[in-house]
Amino acid sequence: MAIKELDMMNVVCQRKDLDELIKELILIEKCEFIDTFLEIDEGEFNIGISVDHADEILGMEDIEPINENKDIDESMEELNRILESIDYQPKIQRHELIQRDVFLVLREKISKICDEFIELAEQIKEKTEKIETINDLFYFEPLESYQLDFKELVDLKHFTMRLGYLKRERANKMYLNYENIKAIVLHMGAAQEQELYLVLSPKSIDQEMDRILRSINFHELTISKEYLGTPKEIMRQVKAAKKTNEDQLVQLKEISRKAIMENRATIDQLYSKIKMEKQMDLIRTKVAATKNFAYFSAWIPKEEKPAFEKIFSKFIDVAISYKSADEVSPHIPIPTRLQNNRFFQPFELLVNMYGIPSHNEIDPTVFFGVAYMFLFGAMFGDLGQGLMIVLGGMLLKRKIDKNFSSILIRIGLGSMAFGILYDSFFGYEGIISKFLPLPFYLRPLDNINLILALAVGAGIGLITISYGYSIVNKWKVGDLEEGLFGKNGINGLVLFFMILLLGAAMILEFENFPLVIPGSVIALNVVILVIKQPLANRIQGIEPLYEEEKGAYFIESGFNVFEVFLTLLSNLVSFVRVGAFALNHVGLFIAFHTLANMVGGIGGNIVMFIIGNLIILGLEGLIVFIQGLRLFYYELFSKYYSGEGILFVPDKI
Amino acid sequence: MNQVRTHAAANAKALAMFGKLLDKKAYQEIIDMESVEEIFTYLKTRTHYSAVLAGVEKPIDSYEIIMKRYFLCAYEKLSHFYFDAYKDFFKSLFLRYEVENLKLFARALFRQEDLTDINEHLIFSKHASSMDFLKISKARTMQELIDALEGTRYHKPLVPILQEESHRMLFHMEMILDQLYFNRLFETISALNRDDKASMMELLGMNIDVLNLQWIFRGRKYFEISSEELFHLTLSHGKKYPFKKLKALCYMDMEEYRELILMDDYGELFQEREYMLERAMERYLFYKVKRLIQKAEISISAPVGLLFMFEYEVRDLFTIMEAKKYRFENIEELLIRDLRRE
Repeated sequence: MAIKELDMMNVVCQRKDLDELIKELILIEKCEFIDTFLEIDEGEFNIGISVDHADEILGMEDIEPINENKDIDESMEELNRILESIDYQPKIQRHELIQRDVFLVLREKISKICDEFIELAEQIKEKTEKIETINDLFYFEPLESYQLDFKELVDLKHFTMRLGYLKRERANKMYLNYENIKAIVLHMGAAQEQELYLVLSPKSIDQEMDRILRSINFHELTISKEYLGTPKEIMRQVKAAKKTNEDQLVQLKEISRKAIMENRATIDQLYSKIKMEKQMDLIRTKVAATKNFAYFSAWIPKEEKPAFEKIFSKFIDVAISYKSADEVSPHIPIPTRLQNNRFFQPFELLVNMYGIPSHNEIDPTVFFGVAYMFLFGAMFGDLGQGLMIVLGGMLLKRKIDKNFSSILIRIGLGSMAFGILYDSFFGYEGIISKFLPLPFYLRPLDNINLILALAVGAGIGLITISYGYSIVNKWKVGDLEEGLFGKNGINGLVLFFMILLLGAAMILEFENFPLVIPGSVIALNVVILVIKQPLANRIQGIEPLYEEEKGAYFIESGFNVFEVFLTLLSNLVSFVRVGAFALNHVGLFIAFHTLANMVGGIGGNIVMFIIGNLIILGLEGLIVFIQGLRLFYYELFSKYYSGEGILFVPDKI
Repeated sequence: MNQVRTHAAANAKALAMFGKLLDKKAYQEIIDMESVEEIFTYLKTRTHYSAVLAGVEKPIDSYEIIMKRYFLCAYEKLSHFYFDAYKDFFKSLFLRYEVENLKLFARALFRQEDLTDINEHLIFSKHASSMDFLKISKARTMQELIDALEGTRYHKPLVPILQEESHRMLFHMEMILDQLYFNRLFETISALNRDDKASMMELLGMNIDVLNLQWIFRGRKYFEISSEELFHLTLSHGKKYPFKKLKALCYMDMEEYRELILMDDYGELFQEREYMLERAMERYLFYKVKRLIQKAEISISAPVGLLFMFEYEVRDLFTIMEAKKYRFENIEELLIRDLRRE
């Protein structure tokens, strides 16, 4: 079973040892701390009362939370700010995590290294900003055709010149009132998708003009005194300045790169250590403490207890108690620890997309993995294309999510297996059978009806397994109503088989088969479905028999029966698509072969072969991938899988 | 057919809600009551507010918030029935609450009050608004307020007002916020179907006219805003007053302005005392909307009209309660609705 058990560990230690202990527990990467006050408030925090623990227990009266240490954030921000401006992405060095510095010392060291880089960082920042302001001056570019000396305009004694952006609609409104405005407003052109205007007004009404311009949302541009002249001259100066500044920036970056290379080890070390401090601080906020003792709770894997004992043995005065998940208060959510073998582990990605299994549910990952490979292979059976998917998965291993590339490899294998069975290699039937004469090949287009029937058969198999999962899950949580009498319980399973039997008997016209037997079992199933709640409650002796009003209950369960029949039918028919896609796959190839013949010639054939295969691989591959998921999520998972769990995430760096 | 498909559900919902709003008799009864407590008991037991007030005990302050939220919730429910352009339209209607909240903040800043107190009285749609009012309420100056708006649609247009002298800042801020809201509204209305577009444009046009008239009046009388600025700040898309007429109004002297308006469609607005201007505007819109609903077939009019009527009802009720608290006489005069006309 792939859901592994977790235990709750309650620990009391000496306050002075707390930091060291937390550090060790982070490094082991196997436990997830919870808010200790949850445990304490629920009255669940126990460490076994004995004389040895008397001090620890007595101290619990003055218990307090530990507050976050804001200085750590500050130090971390300081370091990050500098690293960002010199553009260096530090790496965590694991060996640096073991030996801890006192935070004050660490802070000192961080400040020191920051001081070393601060001048450089500021120079880089300054240059970058300078380049930005220069870039802003490019609005002169569209004005280059004007023979207008801006120096003269700026130096006017009695007039103020403003240049700025204005929306055309607002400008029109201003023109409507032009006779009242004591200014010359000229449209100069468009820059950066905005309209550029020049406003010339007497200096004596500057304040009034400012107000008027604000009221039409005039966005004034700053005119740099450094670069003046005609727009052409200005642009020449601006471009030259940009080039100079950019060159200087490159030089600065080169200097900083060298400085980083020299100090890389120190930076990485400090970065690792401050990361550790931050993580420890986060955990400390979950710890409860008194003056002398600290109390904390964490989830740990059941079988890892010895590893923890080993850590605790290094400290004196540590009291530990363990509880199994069942003993923990129902108000504290139990996380789910998934552990599948390496082959199936990637499929957790797709299962978790639907939901994470609850801790008391069966992990469906293995079933999902096997069945998904089967379904994908059956719908997309081709030795050559399957091989492409496998190769694609291998090539993309470093580029995309590791789990996803592993899934590609696995479903590609499924596709290859079915490709051999279908005798299909890049859409050419008959090649595989030449080299590998098997006694039996199932070429889809030659066996249309058989393929469709097999698909439904596979569906019946998968649905039956789902019923099995559902019954076990319900049984595990002691849900008699749904497990025994419900639509996804034993009653539902019997109903499913009886309908199949009845259908088979009618379609295949069994001789001398008494239809009345499955008919009456179905009737009984239906009655049980309708009265399942009062029935289950009566058996368990629960009062009241109905959780809602009696009338409402029967109306609802009456309609539910319709839903059950509809779902059964649609579940089953849904699996026809597996066969349909197998056929469709061959069909598409035939279409491309025909196209290739129409194009003619070896070149045309090769081009069509490549295009056809690419389209089929990309488009149909994606569709089949989604359809496979859909079959699982809708037809199978909805039966038995609630996926309402939360994942067990050990605290680590 | 298309209109039916778009509006049937929202219309049914709106008309049902419309039927629940208080009638003249209820208002009379409430006004005749002695104390605020008595009014609450009445609202709690005999009106549609029982849905949210039942079980709520004191303090009285909490009633106000609950009733406002109730109104907003009705708003949101109606918006769920719409898609595409209509959804956008409803979303833009919600912007008004953001704008009004920002105005509240700005006014409080000017009175040098603590903004955090206002925070709990704000209403806004969590669906339609992503503003962080908590962050904004920490502002102590106008600069901080506008900084806190960074990343929202309001930030950029508001930055220039920081250069205004402080006593004019508020006026500019309010006008710019209104401009943003009404421009967005105009954009979304433009995307509606033909008939809905026409009726909503009419409503918008009236609303804008009335606001422009008010702005011109207040801007000149209290804030000494120049005619040029005023004209630039007026809202576009008015119904009776296009830019040409607005321009003339902006340059008229106050007496002339008054006379001209009195003779025109919006004459009734300026007949009463000046401090009642805002109330007069609302009363004017109230009856316009009411007429719109009465003559409307299945369209956007009923849902939007309901929102107006519902909000005006909540506000009238608050007015009555406030008036009772401070023992005002002639409560009828303070209401948006005119009980003599009902």
